[in-house]
Amino acid sequence: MSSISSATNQKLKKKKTGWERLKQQELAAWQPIFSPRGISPLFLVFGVLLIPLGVLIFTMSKNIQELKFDYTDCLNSNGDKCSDIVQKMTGESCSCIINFQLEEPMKGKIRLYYALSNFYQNHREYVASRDDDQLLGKIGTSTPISPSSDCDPFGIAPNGKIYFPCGAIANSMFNDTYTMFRHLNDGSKTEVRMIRTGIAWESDKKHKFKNPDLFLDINNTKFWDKFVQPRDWGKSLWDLDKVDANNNGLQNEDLIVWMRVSALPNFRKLHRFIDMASLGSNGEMPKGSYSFEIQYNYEVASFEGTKTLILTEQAFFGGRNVILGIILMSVGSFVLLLGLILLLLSFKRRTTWSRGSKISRDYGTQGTTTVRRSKIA
Amino acid sequence: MIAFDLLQWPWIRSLCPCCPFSKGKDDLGRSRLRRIYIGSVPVLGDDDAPEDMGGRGSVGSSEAPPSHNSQRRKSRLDRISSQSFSDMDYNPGLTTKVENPVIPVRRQSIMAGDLRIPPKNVFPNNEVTSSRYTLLSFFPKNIYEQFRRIVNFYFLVVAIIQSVTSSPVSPVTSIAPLAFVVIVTMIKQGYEDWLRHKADNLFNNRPVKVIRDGVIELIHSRDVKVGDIVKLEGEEQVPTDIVLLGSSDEFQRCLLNTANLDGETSLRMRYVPAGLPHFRDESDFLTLDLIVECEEACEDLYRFNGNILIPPELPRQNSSLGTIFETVTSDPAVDPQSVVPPTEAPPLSFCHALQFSHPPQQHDTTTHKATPPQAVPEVKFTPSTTGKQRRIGIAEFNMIFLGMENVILRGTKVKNTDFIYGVVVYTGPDTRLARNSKQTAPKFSTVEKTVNKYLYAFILILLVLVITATLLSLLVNWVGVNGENPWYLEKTEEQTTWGYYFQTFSSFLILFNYIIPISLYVTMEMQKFIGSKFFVWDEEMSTEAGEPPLCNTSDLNEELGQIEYLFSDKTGTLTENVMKTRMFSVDGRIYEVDDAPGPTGSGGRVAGLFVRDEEDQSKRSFVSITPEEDALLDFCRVLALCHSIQIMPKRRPSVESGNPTGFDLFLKRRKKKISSKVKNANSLFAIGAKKGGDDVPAALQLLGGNWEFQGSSPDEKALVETCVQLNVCYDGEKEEFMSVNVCGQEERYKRHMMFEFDADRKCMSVIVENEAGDIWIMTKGAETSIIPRCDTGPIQLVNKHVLTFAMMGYRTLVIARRRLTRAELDVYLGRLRAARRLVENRDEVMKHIYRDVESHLEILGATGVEDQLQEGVVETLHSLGAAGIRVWVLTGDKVETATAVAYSCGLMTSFSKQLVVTKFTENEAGTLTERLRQFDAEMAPDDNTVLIMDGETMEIALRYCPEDLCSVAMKSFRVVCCRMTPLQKSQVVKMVKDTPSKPVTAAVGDGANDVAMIQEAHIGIGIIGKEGRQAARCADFALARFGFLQKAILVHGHWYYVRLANLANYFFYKNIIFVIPQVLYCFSSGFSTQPLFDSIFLMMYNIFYTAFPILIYGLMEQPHSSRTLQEHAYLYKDITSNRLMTPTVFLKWLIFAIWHAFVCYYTALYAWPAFHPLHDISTFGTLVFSGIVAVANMKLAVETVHISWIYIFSHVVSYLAYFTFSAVYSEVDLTFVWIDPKQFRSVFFTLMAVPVFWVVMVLVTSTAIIPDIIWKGVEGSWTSVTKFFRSFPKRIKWGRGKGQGDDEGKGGWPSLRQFAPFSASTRKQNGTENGMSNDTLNSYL
Repeated sequence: MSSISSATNQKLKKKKTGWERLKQQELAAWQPIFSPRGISPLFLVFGVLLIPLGVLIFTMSKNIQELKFDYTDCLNSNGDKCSDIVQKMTGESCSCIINFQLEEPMKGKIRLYYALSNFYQNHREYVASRDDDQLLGKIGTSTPISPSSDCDPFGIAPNGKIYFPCGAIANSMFNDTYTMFRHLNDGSKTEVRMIRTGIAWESDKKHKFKNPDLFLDINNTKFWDKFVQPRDWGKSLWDLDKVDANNNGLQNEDLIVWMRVSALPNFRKLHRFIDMASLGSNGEMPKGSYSFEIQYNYEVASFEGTKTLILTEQAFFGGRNVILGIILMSVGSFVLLLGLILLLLSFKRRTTWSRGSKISRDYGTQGTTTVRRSKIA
Repeated sequence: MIAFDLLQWPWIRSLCPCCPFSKGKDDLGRSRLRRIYIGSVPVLGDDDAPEDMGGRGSVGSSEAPPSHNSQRRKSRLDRISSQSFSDMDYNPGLTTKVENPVIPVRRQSIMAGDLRIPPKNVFPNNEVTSSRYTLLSFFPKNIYEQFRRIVNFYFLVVAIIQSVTSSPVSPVTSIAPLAFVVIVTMIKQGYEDWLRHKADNLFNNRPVKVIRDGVIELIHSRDVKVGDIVKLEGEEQVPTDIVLLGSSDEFQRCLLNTANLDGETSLRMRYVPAGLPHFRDESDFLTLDLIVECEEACEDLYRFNGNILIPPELPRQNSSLGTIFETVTSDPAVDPQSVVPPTEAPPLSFCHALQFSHPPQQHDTTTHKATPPQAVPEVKFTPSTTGKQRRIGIAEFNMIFLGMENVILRGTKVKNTDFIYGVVVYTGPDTRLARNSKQTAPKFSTVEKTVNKYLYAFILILLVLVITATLLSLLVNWVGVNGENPWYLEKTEEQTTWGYYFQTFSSFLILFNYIIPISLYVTMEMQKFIGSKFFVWDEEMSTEAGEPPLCNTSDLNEELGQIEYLFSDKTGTLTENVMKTRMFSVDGRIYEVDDAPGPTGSGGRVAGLFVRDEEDQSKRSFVSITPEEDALLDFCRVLALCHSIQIMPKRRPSVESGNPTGFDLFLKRRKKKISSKVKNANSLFAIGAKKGGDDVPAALQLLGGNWEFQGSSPDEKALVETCVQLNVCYDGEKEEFMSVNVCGQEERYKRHMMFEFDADRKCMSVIVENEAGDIWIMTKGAETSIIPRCDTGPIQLVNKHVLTFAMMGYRTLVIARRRLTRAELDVYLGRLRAARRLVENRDEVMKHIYRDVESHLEILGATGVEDQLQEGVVETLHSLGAAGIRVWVLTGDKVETATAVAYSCGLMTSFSKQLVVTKFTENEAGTLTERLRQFDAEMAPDDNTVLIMDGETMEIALRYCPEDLCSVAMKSFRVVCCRMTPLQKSQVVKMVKDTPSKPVTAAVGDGANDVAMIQEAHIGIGIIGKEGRQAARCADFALARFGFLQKAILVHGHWYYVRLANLANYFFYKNIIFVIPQVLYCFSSGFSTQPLFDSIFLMMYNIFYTAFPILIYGLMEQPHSSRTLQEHAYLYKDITSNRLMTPTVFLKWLIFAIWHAFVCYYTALYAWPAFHPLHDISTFGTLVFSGIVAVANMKLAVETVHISWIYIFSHVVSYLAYFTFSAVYSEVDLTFVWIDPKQFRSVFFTLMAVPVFWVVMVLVTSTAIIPDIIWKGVEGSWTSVTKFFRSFPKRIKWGRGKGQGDDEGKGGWPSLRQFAPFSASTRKQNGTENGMSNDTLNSYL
């Protein structure tokens, strides 16, 4: 050690404010030491943290009842494949029925999802193909505002009318409809009513979608002079919900849910809640046999997609996800195992491993603590 | 035109680096002179002259004369140009007529340059512009400069592509960060430039007193023009380069402080050119008519060539000039430059006066000068061949030559003089100061170069990614749906056109371009800028006097951690540069000089001379100087007379008060005795007039009071002080007499001439005449230059003693003298005067005169002056050696001195093998090559070998066998190069720099002679020393002491390097983990270029979400504590050779980055179903992104060793920024500022509200970081083990020999008082090494 610096050091040691110490780079600091001894507690803690979480999520997911019905290739009453009928584009309707047995009663807020696969809602051009202004009802007062070019080729119809709503997303809106029945023991069936609202994000409803003021009157011929329903829609915008005016038109929640594009090509979207009141039971869906009557409108066969109907309970930790639980458990046990091995090592081969770095040994810390106060001399 | 051919001779140029041959040439190769007209000079001949006689003496510069007679002047100028001087060219017939006419004395064709350049454009104004921009040019210029940077340009291209094509992300994401970066840089540079402007304005607006029309006008400094007469009053800063015209001092002198210029704190003397009238009043200038000629602006601070031309006839009726004008000198023996003749000389008429000393140069005259009996070098001029014969040409003017002693440069300060007058000769950018402060070429650090390489690598990676993705995209389009899109995705565009391919390509480019970190350079710059403050703040690196370290450029901070070769100067760098006289060799005997007082009764002396007993070296006897001791006394007389020391008022306690010299102690002791008689300061030089009654010499009385010796050479000062202690007191100078008090008796000497020391001659001389009329030339200088010129005296003995002194590490000087006859003196004086009249080639001629004068000398003896090692040098060199830094000592000193110092500072030990390669001549080049080859073959790379070379041998080796030299030198453990010129020093540095391994070099030095080396090396480190500040100014870093290098390199260098290297690594890392999920997402989105992240993430990631911790890391990380790094110097080896940025390390970071990115993306992907009913892109992107932010910050936390509260705080800030920005953007309606989150609306809180989100965060972070932690542990224990073993060999190697170890205990300076410079073991060792070193050593002893 040079005598200069040590001498100066001695001299300066007395009156050091925080700022002075910062300037002299002598702030007190912690130094993590990555010796087995130092890191094994960390690993143990993480292991102990992750494993229960994993177990929790795993068991919770396991306990969630989730019924999936892939009805892509379902048959109608004539025994024809609905997919074929739809693909012919004849406008002919096809309906099929799925019967199922509920072994355990379902509790809580029971949701009905539809799931599509191989549907690239996240394709860039698809994602972009919308006009947010139009969806907010900004379509002009006397003369209609042309839709954004993002909507092309679903912006303006060949006959010059404006698609309303425009864009590929809106055009491809999912339009299968489901009716649910409960089959009682006496052979009669009662419809299980479903709640159509509350499925979309509140913020979307509030900020993103608004029916135009001017053309509220759905029978206004002037409106349909200028606008036209999207090409692949079977019905008009104003027929989305004929009962609830607030859920109709652009403010229809099915539309809003659809318009929030999915991240992955296999996705499920929330469709309905089961109206427990219609079941007449105390907050649960009793076991028994049920059926779905499906109005099969949506074509997926052409792009090798599938359609699935999912009836599920909701858990505290979001939806059913066994994989996450497994990941958590495996990572947790790996970490725990590592922690134990390191702990063992730190006892067994202290001399070579726990040195951490030679320097720390020189300091006499021996790597016994995770962190050390490395106050500069 | 022969003249101009002459200019092409390379030897002239090399000899005269500053003379107009090499510099200041116009494009035709003509050299230029500037000529400044003051007053109305009647240069145009008789028909014009009378009209001009009445001209006002106002300012007349050739540039836009301000007075009303400008028109007239202009026309005159034109005529001057066209007629008088146009054909005055070099005439080969006009040579000096001296006994050995060696060099033609040439008269430069004066107007050559002026003819070509219109006067208006010749001289710049005095405005100082250090600023780079003006208000108008700032924006375009700055923008241009910024986009020359590859990163910025790259992002500009991306932004343009993004704006032009239909981009997947909003162009704002590229433009905003780019704009941010550009604006921040712009603000920084703008601010810096504003500061420069402010400083410029301060200087430019400083009031300057200018004399116009006989009255003082106050003008701004920037308006000062060439030719202005300025008046400066005491303590005033000199605004521009001026020639002194008048002074308030009675002897027409002026004192200067040149500290700003060369850092020397001693005052300098300047003289009014002899032959000018005394100007005492502003009105005197009304009648002043002069032409000042000087060479074009150049860089040399120590040389100035010029003339003042005075019109031949000045019969002024209305002027007092005629009477106040004094003769130059009537005594030709008196050197006109140093002493102004006594005032009592009879006033003569102007013409007469000039006739006397400088005969007017008339046509066809050879010489009219009659005073010296010998032929005097005469300058002749051909008449103007085209002009009328009767017209007055320049040749007819009377000429007063000007030298540096008449010039006051900008940046100096007038001291102790009430006022001076001066005529401005150089302004603004032409001034020597401005010429010397040119910007050096920017140096780039290793890290920066590597970062640039990284950048190219990343651009390559990016292109590979983009092309792959594009191809896959096309493939998906083609295979996936048989060339058709699904019905829900109908496209307007044709998908097989080139336009579409390009669109896809550019979209991917835009999507992935974040792999290149835009903010890297900004962060690096901020880190460097703020980081460099820590260097400056470090109190351990500042002296007690508070001289802080300097960091002139922050660009090279981290390069301090990369040094492999350190080139060090010796004097002032390794040593204190505080001199102490130790040894005299007089008349063949060696005398020791000691502070110990001699026997009592030796009359006020404190220091004593001792002689060692011949038999018993431990006994020594006291010797006192008595008037009878002839040899000793003569020796001391020379020392007391031959110097350039002045007696000056004592300065306030200055920085140099490092170690009190013996002399100071002596003074302290004397102080009580001597009643401090403070001299009245009426005249600075009237010392010695009053005498104390006691036996204390007068000088000592003064010195005990407020006076002291001052001089630029510390050796000289030490010698003169020693003489005082030995009762031979230099009492100062009164008029032209130097007074010396020898044992109480005053002796007066008239100084005829003084040849100041210069580096080429390596000696200085004075010619003095004592009262008895004996004339002596006294010389002192390096033995290599003096001994060959000596004819008589104990030459061999002195030679031997000099070697002995040198081997003890002392600096040696040889003293010699010769008696002159008066005739000889007159010849010399005549030649000198003639030579001084030259504007050009003067140095050449002077050199010849010097050579003649300083010859046939009688050797008197030699001196040995000790220069102590600086404190901490030994420890520092030891640490640096342990750190694997090879230290080379490059010194101008002798081989023996250098070797001795190398020993004493531990660079060599008795175990070292010495290779002494010295004293080779050009003819022996073959032998040299052979020797070097032989060494090369024999040497093992890790031998403890010290190569010792001298400059000449080095030069030869560099010319004939550079590879062999390089190979030997690089294998040697230490290299000591002696007798190096500044150029050679830089050549050595360059040689090492250019070896194939391209090592990083650093050069340390304190003097102007080290500047070349400092600028050549990768890192220049200046020692703020006594030799001036020039080295410190040119260096990248400056320290007050060599010992501070230990901390600067081992600690600061280490820290800086680790900080910056990891900062760069981390930047690339964090951008990889940012982009890879995006790439992976392509597989889910059908390669449709759908961005995974929202625009705000793309924008904010680098500048807010992950910026603070890395910046704090970059500023505060300490991989090891300061103490550890200094105690375990070998740790430095862990970082040299750019260890943290090797491909392996790069790969390590890359692999971890890929792992982290995969973890972030796939964990989110697999956990995604748990988020139902959330399913949209924005939410998924936010989930992935949150993981990335967490992991990126956590990764840094793992990498950080020094976790202070600020660091933790920075992490908190980082996360807070993420949450705040995202939350505001997502949740708050910002449409009023045109911010539309679109699909991101409400996403953030919606996601945060899902409990699984937090689980996923924990999972992602821990999964990603676990391998890092394990790696850290493994790596730590692995490297610590290897490090431990690696450290052993060096430790053993650096163990000292026994003899050396003892010496170190006493502060590093071996006890070399005995006459045994090398211990027996050393000599034996050396003797057995190889034949050559043996021979060489034997020749020393």
